[in-house]
Amino acid sequence: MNATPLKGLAGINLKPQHYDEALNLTDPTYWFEVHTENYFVEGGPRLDYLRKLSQRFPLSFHGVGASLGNTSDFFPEHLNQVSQLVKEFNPALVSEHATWSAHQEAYFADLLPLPKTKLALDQLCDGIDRYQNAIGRSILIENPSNYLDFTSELDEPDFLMEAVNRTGCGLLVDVNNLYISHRNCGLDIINYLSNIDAKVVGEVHIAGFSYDEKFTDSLLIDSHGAPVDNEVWRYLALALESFGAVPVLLERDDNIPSFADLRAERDIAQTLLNSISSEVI
Amino acid sequence: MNPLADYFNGFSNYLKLGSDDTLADFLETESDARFMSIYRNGFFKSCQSALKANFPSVLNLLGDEYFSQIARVYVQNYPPKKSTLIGYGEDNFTEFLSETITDLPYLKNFALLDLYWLKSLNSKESTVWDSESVTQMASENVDLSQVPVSLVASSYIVTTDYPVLSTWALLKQGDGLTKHIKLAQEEESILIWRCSGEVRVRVLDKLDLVLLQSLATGTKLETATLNALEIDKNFDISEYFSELLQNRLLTLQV
Repeated sequence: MNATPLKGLAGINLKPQHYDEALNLTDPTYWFEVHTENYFVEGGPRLDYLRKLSQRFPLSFHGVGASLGNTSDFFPEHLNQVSQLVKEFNPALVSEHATWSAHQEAYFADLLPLPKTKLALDQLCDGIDRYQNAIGRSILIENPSNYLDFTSELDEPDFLMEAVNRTGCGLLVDVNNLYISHRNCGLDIINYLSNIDAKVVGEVHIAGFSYDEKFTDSLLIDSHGAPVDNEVWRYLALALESFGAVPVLLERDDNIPSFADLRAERDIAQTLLNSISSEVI
Repeated sequence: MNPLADYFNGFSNYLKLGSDDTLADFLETESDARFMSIYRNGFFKSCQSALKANFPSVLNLLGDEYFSQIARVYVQNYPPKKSTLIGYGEDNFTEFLSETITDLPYLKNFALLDLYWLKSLNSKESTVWDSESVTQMASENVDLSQVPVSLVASSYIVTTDYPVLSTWALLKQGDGLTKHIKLAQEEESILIWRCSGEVRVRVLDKLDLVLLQSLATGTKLETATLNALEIDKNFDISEYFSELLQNRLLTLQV
């Protein structure tokens, strides 16, 4: 990874109900992330808004459907669509997940866990290589949220760092996912952060989680449907101490609050980033 | 033997069917296998939500609980075959509804209008033949009647077998119905198109249908006019042409 785009800046993942307010925003420190697949359309207002927004703010394309760990029958078409969007919008960041979502002809519309094995690593690296070759640039891959432990030969940070070393991609560290994995599976976040090379981290995500209806607080769900938890804020501060002032993105995909509420949460992240930046200076 | 292939096969079977004997081999012993349900719930919830978003009038007609039940069966039988949920259900959800809920024979027509509304919204842009361009061409003495034109890419002519448009419009907005739907079986033709970023709909009479169908296939205005004159010998293309331009429905064929 070379220079970090959007360094020191906090952004929001953009939902259609906030298009107009986002376009009226005058704060130049903002940037917006969108789910790439939501723009797999030929035309219409959704693309029009994105075009207008891209004139005013940096964009990040965050993919949720490539299934890099198990590429499917429709992977070539997926790459074709992502390539067209990346070519048109030239986003500051492009990211995907170290997960799988599809098998053969079926798409499961979820970010499913890979076993941390050497075979799975080979397959993930192949998916990343094909993705990066298709769009002609490197991407960031995001750590998964874990609900239970699958058989593994590698620890997750080693698994991800090996993918980075082999493919030249970078990492998107989702702090909420780390916290969920900590609570559900006992993952040691401090140890995890210390095993990630700060130089390869290009973005950090924060979000809110929810509790499973059936298993309550013994199973945290990566719902993106609540404000960021205090513990996640605390781990964000630790992550930024480790990684420096990498861009931070506030995700919210469910129970969408007002744009003002999202901005208030995002501004907390910006304040944290400012404190990191000033320490560096 | 490829353990990774076994893993994906086992996991996929679990997601589709709710159980798979091989999956336990891939779990660490201390893991609570009951937590696997989170993945299956997530898969169904995402797909059900997509169907609700894609078929809002059907959702409002059936109610959330019944729709969710029906949608779950559909997801199980027809999981998405593309890596986006935009348009999920376009392959066969209308037929599935028709086969599954036989006591509402008009239901598939609501689904059809939802589907074409969405197609129109996300369809590619056409270069609209607008008043300005027409004026320019007229000033250059172009014979407009001989210019090959067609309808913009976002336009669809949909024929339903019940007259559902007005009820569909209410349901799509989320308005509840104040009385039971009573519809006599009778065909209704509807034009759906996108104009200035907004999807519009209108019922077509016989003349509209003949004229717009000729234009949809791509033709000269003169030919479309001759077809319309067979329906109404007093038909005047000038007023109709102006309306087509205002609604940004025409594009020049290249």
